[in-house]
Amino acid sequence: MVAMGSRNMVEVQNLVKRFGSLTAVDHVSFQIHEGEIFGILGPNGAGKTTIINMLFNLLMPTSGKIRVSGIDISEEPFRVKRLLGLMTQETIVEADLTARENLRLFCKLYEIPSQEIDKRVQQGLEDAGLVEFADQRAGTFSGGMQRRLGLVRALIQEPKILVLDEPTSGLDIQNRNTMHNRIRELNRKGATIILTTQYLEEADILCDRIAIIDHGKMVAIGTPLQIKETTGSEKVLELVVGAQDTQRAISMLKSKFGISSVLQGDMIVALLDRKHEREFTRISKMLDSSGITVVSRSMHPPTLNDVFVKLTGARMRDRTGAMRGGQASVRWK
Amino acid sequence: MGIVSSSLALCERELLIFKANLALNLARTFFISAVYILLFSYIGGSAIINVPVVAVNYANTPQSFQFLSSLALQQSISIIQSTSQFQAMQMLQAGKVSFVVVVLPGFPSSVPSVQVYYSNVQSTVTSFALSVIQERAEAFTIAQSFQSKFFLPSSDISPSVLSTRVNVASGAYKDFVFPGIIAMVIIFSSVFSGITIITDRLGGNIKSFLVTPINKGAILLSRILSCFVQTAIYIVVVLFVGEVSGIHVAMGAIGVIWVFLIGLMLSISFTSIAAIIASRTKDVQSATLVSQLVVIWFWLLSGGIFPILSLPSWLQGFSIIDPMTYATDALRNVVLLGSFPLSSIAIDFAILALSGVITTALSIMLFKSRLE
Repeated sequence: MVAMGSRNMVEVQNLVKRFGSLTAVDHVSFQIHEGEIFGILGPNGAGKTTIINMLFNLLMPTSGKIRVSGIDISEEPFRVKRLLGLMTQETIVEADLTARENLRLFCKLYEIPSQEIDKRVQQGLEDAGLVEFADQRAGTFSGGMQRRLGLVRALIQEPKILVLDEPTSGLDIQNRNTMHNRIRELNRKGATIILTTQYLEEADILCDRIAIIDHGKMVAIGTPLQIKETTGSEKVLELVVGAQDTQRAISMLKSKFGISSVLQGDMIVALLDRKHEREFTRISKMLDSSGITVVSRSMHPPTLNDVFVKLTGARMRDRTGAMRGGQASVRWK
Repeated sequence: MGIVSSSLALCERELLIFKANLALNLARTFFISAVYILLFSYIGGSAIINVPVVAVNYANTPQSFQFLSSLALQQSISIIQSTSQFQAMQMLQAGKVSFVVVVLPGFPSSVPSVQVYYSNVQSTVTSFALSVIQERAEAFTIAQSFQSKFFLPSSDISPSVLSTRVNVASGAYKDFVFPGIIAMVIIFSSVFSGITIITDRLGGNIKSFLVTPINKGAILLSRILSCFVQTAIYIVVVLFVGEVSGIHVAMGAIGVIWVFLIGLMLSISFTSIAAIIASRTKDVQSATLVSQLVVIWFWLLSGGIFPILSLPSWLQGFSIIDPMTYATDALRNVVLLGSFPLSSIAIDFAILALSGVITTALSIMLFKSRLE
């Protein structure tokens, strides 16, 4: 989080990608500064992976421009690819190759001089903590080990920008924390990091700035704090009441206090402004006195999740119809 | 980045994967070829639909033409005309036909008036076809009795038909089919290697290569290169199996080199054909299904397990556009005949090269368009 340069490492201007009638990415523009951790946040199928694929020239944008370190990607894709390292969403290692052979292969693909390959491979193995497994086939590794191998493989050409496409999806808590620490450490050493995620907490604790993408459109961009402030409310009220009382409770909140709330699953969620914040006890008492069974009640400062609810009108969710724009299409049209 | 260096790097990856599954790969090739050779050694070739016959007509009389057309009318005989007995005998020796029927100038009154050379391979059909030829000839010749040492070991003498058994390389059907098995093993392994593109594609491995500064063509080229090495190893296995079962390359050591050259040429076409299939199908199952259908058809039509001329005529046309036909033909010359006529080399290699260029170009084109 140090050395926040003012220089733009990545500039995306008016990026559009259409697959037939589906617009996967719809006029997205943003800049990523040197040395920052930039999060692209959105539900599955929002267009995150499509943007990443265009950044790597794997997909041609329908319109718009991408510059990496001042270089136009459509003009000099090979020069840009040398600046970028990617760790993909699915853990992809060469299962039949050993850890060492995996790293050697990518050294060669990046045309690293042969006298330097051994040194970098050794360094990579040490960073990944895989020295003692160096000559075992990567297919026999656990998920966490494969992910670590994937990360050092993405770093083997010493990229200026590291792109992590959902780096922690499917990892257990321990491996997730290790990955977070590793990302911070890399960032301290000067790497600009682009991170896509669907975990709001992850974006909150890791990223310097966040862009929220939904339906291919960018709905918000800023620091986590700035984004949380966009809700304009101080607290979030969450109530769980007996199923038969739900509608009654919602209408009572509206008529007695003027609070509009939405039902999410079993939970009634309302954004409270400063005035209503002080009325928490009154609301609580009133519900009890009118015979509504309150299972749980809580009030907390807004999280990114609440912001997301406000911005997109829904909690994080999967949208299968839009999958085509993301991971599915990249593997094949 | 240079396409050559990235191709070599990816080729090394292919070979490491091959090495990781070496025992399985070698065992598969060994057992497939051993099973086929064992199987075919005990089949008398009775499944052959049409007996291929070359006719050389020296008589040029109305009766001689009638005789040949009456032969052609036989459902079980497929007849082609040749003007040179030398060429006809060469075809017989190379196992391309089973019979050479020479109509002698004095037909039908001379004694003998028809000379028949037949191959010692495929004994059951041979005896049947021989009887048909004798019967047809008899209808035209004045002589009333005939004799065939092979068919009827009787004291009757038929001076009208003189039949001679010709030793073709060796007497067993397994020798005839051996070049076909070499070709089969080559295309099976090539197609298998080409089709793994689809698992790499679905697994995301290809994406992980494409984010590096490599030329897209290298992904395909590396596969063709690695297939070269694999093909060479498989050929060694098949030749070993052949040697153990008593089938020798008639041309000797030079012949082995020829077998490698022909095999490599063939593997280019089929790796590319598999890559085309892999780029047009969306999952492993359908790609495997389509490639198996394609491979079986190419193999059956190639003349590898029975002579092309024994196919129904409407199918023979398909054999002409099958690159494997030319590889089998070339292999048969080398392995069975022991000599490789210049005209055959030129035609076989030209067509294999052409098909390699066309299929490779097509697969690179389709493949790149798939990757955008």
